Amino acid sequence: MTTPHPTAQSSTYPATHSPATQPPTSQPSAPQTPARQFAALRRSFGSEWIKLWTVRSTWWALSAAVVLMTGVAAIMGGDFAGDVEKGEVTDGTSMGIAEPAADAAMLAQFGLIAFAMLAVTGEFGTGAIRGTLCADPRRGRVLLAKTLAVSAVVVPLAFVLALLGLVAGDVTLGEYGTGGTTVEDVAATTVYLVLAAVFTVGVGALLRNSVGTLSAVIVLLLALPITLGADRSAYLPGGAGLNLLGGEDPPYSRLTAAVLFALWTVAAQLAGYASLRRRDV
Amino acid sequence: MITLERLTKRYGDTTAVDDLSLVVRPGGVTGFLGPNGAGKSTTMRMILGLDRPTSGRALVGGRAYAELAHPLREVGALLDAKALHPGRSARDHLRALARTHDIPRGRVDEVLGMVGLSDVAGRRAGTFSLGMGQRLGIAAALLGDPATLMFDEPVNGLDPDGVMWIRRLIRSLAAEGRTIFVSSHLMSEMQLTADQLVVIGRGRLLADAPLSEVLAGAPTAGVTVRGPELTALSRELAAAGAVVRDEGDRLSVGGASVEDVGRTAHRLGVLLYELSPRQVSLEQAYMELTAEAVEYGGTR
Repeated sequence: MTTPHPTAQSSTYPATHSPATQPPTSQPSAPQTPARQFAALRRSFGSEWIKLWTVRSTWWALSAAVVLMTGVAAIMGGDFAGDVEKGEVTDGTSMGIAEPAADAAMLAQFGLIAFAMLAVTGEFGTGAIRGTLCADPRRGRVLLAKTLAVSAVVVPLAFVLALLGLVAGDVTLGEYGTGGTTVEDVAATTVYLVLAAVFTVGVGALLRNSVGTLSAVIVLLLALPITLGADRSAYLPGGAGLNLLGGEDPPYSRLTAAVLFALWTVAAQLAGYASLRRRDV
Repeated sequence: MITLERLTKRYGDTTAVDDLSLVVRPGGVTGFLGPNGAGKSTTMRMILGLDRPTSGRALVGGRAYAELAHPLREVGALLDAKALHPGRSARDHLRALARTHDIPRGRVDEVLGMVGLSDVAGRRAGTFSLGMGQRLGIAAALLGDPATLMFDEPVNGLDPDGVMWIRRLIRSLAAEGRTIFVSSHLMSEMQLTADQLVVIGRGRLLADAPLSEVLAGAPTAGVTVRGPELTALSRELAAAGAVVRDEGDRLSVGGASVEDVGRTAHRLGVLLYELSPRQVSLEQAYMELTAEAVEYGGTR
């Protein structure tokens, strides 16, 4: 493999501005054809991708998600197996091997939420968003590029996390683990984690600061279902998310829960888009 | 070319930019001068589409910034040197920007070299001094090799070396034929770098003229006359409406040009040792302009 010499690349690029060859107003107004729009989105996505992987917080947040998912799923499975052996379990003597992962996702999601949040609020906090919007002044496109870049990381990672949680649960449950809904459980955990991250990108674009965004997401996804109870929060984002992960006696199917949570995620994105478009940066 | 058409920005009851119309013409350095809080930064942010005008519009090369297909290739801006992620290295910061325009990686190294940051390109930007941050911001502005450059208070907080460097850079960029729009509240700085001056106070346009004109047209500009016997000349000039002040062996004449005074002296046969236009410093001209703005400017 050969890497091109830097000067070989730079020679194709003018080092100084020559007014004779590039008068300021000579560039024709580019019509916004779909092909151009897509090319611009691809470039902005590439920029967001570079930004994600050139700060340390990304590694911290994603590592935290892996550790939390594996660790908490193992603890959940081990606890259950221990309780069964001591005879302290009243509702059956077996658990689905993917269930510990679904419980662990409630904690592991915060690694992904922090990652998704920092992709947005990290720029608002430092003022770097101004540089981003000078490079691509179409704000909707910038939000879409950020959402896609976060998704490109979170979709495969969420699936890996669900599998890690499954393995940890399976190992620690041992003989007390059962199959059955395993595939559905893994899919549900994956979808939940992806939607939670995309939801957070929308809230981050709306609120712009890290403390507010993290508080809002915790309240919406965790605190409200706990304080209101499963019944009254069933149609709110947190309740829909919990029922997607596998709630007790949900008033609707798991697929409906996924659709509901997805709709809330779209709503968060639209709110973020509206705010980003309207407000000065 | 930057065109502002009746640009106005209000925050509640406060008017930051008030009906500002002007054209920043290509080539040369246009100084954007005004006291702190006069609306310079707000104007620049509106040009870049970051702030939405309450009314009016700002155009770059005839189009709104958001309509530019490749904005970094047309306008480069340094707004706030600290407005970047402190954890990202200088090179990565520029790489991410370059990616939005498919600017080759070689250009990133090139602009790092131009601003003298090649040796620290791998260091996290948060560890940079203000001067280094300023250089990085300028590297970002130069990335797309734009014909128009905007700098907001580029010398603020820099040490003398940094100030000299920015001054030379701005002159050399202008010499390459670029349009430079540079804001400052430092009148002395503008006197050294600008060709054209735009002065604002309280968001309103106070002056838009070549540097020399602003200096000459300032109310306190005048003529100094020196000679052995000036009483007759003094009387004649005063009779013609000029404001004459006797300063011992010389006269300070306001409200008359060098030509007026020379012609009068010749007609009267008065011997002169010196006849010179008295240039006020930009500082003085600016104080006069902005003092009026403070006095008669907006009511609250």
